[in-house]
Amino acid sequence: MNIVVAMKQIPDLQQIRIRNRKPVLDDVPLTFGNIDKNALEAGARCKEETGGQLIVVSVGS
Amino acid sequence: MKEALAAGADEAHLVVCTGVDTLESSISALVIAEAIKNIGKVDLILCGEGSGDNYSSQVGSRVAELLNLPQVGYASEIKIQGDSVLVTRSLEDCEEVLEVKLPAVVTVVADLNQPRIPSVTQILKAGRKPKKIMSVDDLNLELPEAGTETVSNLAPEVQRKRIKVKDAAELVKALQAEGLMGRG
Repeated sequence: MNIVVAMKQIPDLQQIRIRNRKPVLDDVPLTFGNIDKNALEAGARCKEETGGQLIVVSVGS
Repeated sequence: MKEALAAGADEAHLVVCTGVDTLESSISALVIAEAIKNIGKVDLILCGEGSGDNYSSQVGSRVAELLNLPQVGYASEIKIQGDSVLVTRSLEDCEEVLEVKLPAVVTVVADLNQPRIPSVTQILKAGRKPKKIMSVDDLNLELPEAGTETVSNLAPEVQRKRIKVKDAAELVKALQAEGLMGRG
């Protein structure tokens, strides 16, 4: 059973500062969205049950 | 990407889109769908209900449409049963359980599980797992023009409360009244 998890790399929300009502994204490291991590965990559990490959797919600009 | 490999993935595929400032949902979905086709046989595709930044909640459904696969949104439980998957959706006042034939796309909600914290060995092993970095050209894909434009992205204005305090005791009282102190 092959499982794909689509995950998005986003700026770490804990480290974003707001200046003049605009988010400052300079030097903010990338991480994955929290819900994406839940999706990955769900994929990992399914894989442990059935075997197969777990592949993460991500798109970045 | 290493983070995901440490947390249980076997392989990571990253498609780099150069020359694009922001990826709108329709374009992300197009690229993800193409990357999935490129993998070959895939039985289950999982996405979060929405991303942590834009939260458009469109990509899962769009990928399903592009791949012509059935889709279930907002899953709170997933159980594989042979060649189908049993998905529970927690709705406002009821639970819906659906059986979907694989291959299928499922988007999940945050309270479906607690993501594991990878051990040091898993983090070290993640470095040796296969990582594939592709460009849009590698997928023989031409990106369409963006159909949406972000006009502005501003934090909501918050009015200061302008509460004056004379001493520390009053400050403590004011903070407690706001629920910012002495909780639990």
